[in-house]
Amino acid sequence: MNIYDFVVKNNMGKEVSLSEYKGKVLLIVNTASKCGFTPQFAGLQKLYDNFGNEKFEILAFPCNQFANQEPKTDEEIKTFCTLNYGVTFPIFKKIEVNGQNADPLFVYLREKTPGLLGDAIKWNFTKFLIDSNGNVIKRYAPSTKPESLEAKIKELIDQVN
Amino acid sequence: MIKVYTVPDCPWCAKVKKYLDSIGVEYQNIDVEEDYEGRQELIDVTKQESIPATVKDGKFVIGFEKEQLDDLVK
Repeated sequence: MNIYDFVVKNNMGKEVSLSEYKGKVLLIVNTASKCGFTPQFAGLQKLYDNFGNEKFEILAFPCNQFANQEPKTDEEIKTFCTLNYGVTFPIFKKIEVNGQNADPLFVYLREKTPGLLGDAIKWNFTKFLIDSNGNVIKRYAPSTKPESLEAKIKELIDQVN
Repeated sequence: MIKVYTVPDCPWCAKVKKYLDSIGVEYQNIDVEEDYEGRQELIDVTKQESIPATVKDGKFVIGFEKEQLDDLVK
């Protein structure tokens, strides 16, 4: 089993094979609900702006499982939610990341990167970095700022032929 | 005919629907998370992807904006 065997659904319900992303460095992220543009989205967009999508891709999967735990701080000013989050990288169909109905891709990502407290995903914006050969390199915590992944991503991109 | 484009876990969508209910305005709810034709319709009509979008006769209000909604539906 490798990451290119997985098929996911885009936000229009169409099936997309991850083999389409062969040869690219991937950052796969479970994102928060559609209401409120968090700094994490801005940070991810910045990475995408910097690296482009020729050798790099961010794949975002909305997940509701942490909705009730979501802080409501500076999100109250807006009166709408957005389907595309104001970002230009692909947003896929909403999935679950933990439990019985967890998406198989996330089960795989979790199993490849177990932590000390088990492999469950703890919060929105857990990031999985995959190299251009499909190896799951590392899981980064929700608190890890996208900006801090820049050097590691660049290193992996430089390895792409 | 008034259409409201929404998704299930969007508090602002719930507020718009509740408000329209409270002032006795009838509308068709379109869940654009599952209804992909509806999603395309939202994009075609409003040229953007924010919700809730309340649409009447080609005019629309994005978000839970009471005064704008009053103007639209009156």
